[in-house]
Parts: sequence; structure tokens; C-alpha cells
Amino acid sequence: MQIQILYFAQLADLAGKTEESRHIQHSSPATLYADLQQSYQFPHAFKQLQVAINHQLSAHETELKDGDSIAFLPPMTGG
Amino acid sequence: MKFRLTDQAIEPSAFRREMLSLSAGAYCSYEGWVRDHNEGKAVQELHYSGYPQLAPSIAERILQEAQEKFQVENAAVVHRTGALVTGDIAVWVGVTAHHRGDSFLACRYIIDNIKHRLPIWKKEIYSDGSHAWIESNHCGCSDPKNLEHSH
Repeated sequence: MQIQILYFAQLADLAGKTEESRHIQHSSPATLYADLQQSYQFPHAFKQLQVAINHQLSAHETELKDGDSIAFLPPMTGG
Repeated sequence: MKFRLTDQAIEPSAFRREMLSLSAGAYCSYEGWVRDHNEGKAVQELHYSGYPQLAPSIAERILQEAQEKFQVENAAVVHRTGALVTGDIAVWVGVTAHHRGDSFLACRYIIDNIKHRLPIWKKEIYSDGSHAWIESNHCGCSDPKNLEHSH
């Protein structure tokens, strides 16, 4: 299935992009993040990040569906 | 106006005008400024990036929580994005209430939660040319009773 991945903050810097589309064979955000860590050397452990699917905060275990967007959100530092 | 992300300079007087109400006896506001140092390093700029498709729903949830916890008439937040220099306003919070106590407490609750729940990230640019993403706003200070703790 096809997934749109959004990158923010340090993850965008490391990936060198703010979004990309990937074809994946599984539905697990954890597995996807592990793949992205391999690609971009993201420093965060999966559980350090919040997950947003289709622009809504979602449980880490949520299953991805074809056409979903997903963002892995580093600790937030507004203000 | 409840929540706004903006890449323009924040003008508190304009937002204050939007809060004016004849039924409110108290108005409390907070401005977060870009300071020139952090943890011993000279800060030249802050770069804020946000998640504009997610931030409004989170901010509105925080404002709603403040209205449920305190006797608040109105509450609003404006947050900057983009490159800010020292002295710029990064965030503005405004609260009106019938009485001052609730306005103070709600304002504190809102900014403390904005700092670690709103999907916005800041990168510090130092005067020596180096930079760092900041990831340590978490401090458990969102408890409104914990007024001893402030940063």
C-alpha cells in the first residue's frame, strides 16, 4: 500500500525533505519507523515520538491503511 | 479568534482588543519572548516549525480544558512560526474571566500545555553559527498549583 509520510523538525532536517510517498508491505507504524531510521539515521526511539495519522494523534499500534498519511512527531517545544 | 498560527509579527494590542468584554472583570495575558541565551549559549535566532493541519485541534483542546477547569469567559492563543530574532514574541496567550484568580490560573495552564503539547518545534541558532533542535520542554510544570516552578 501507498503511505504519505510527513517530516517535521529534526526529522525533516535529517531526511532532507518534508514529505515523501512510500510503498510498504505491512501496516505497522513501528516497522515503518524502523525502516525510516535505517534510511535517515533518526535518533529517536519509536516510543519517544508521537504518531499522527491523517493529521490526528493516534495510538502507536494503529494499523495503517492504503492512502494514509503518517507523521512521527518529536517532543514538542512550542512557546 | 481562538487559535492562530502566524508567520507575521505578533501584535498583542490587536489581540487584546479582540478579547475586550463588558462582562469580564479580569484579563490576563502572557507573551513568550525570544531571549538571547539558553544553557550558556548565545542565541541569535529561533526557527519555529509547526504542523498546521494538527495544531489547531490540539490548541482548541487545551483551550477547552482551561475553560472546563477554570471560570473563564474567553481564551485565545497565537503562535509564531518561521525565523524569529531576539526580542520577538513567539507566543501570546490571552484569557478573560469574571475574576483575576481564574484568569491567572487559566493563562498558566494554557501556556504550560502549549509548550509541550502543541505540535511546534524550535531550533536555536547560536551566535557561533551552530544550531540545535530543542527537545526538553517537558518538566511537569503544567500543574497550576505548582506556581513555585517557572521557566
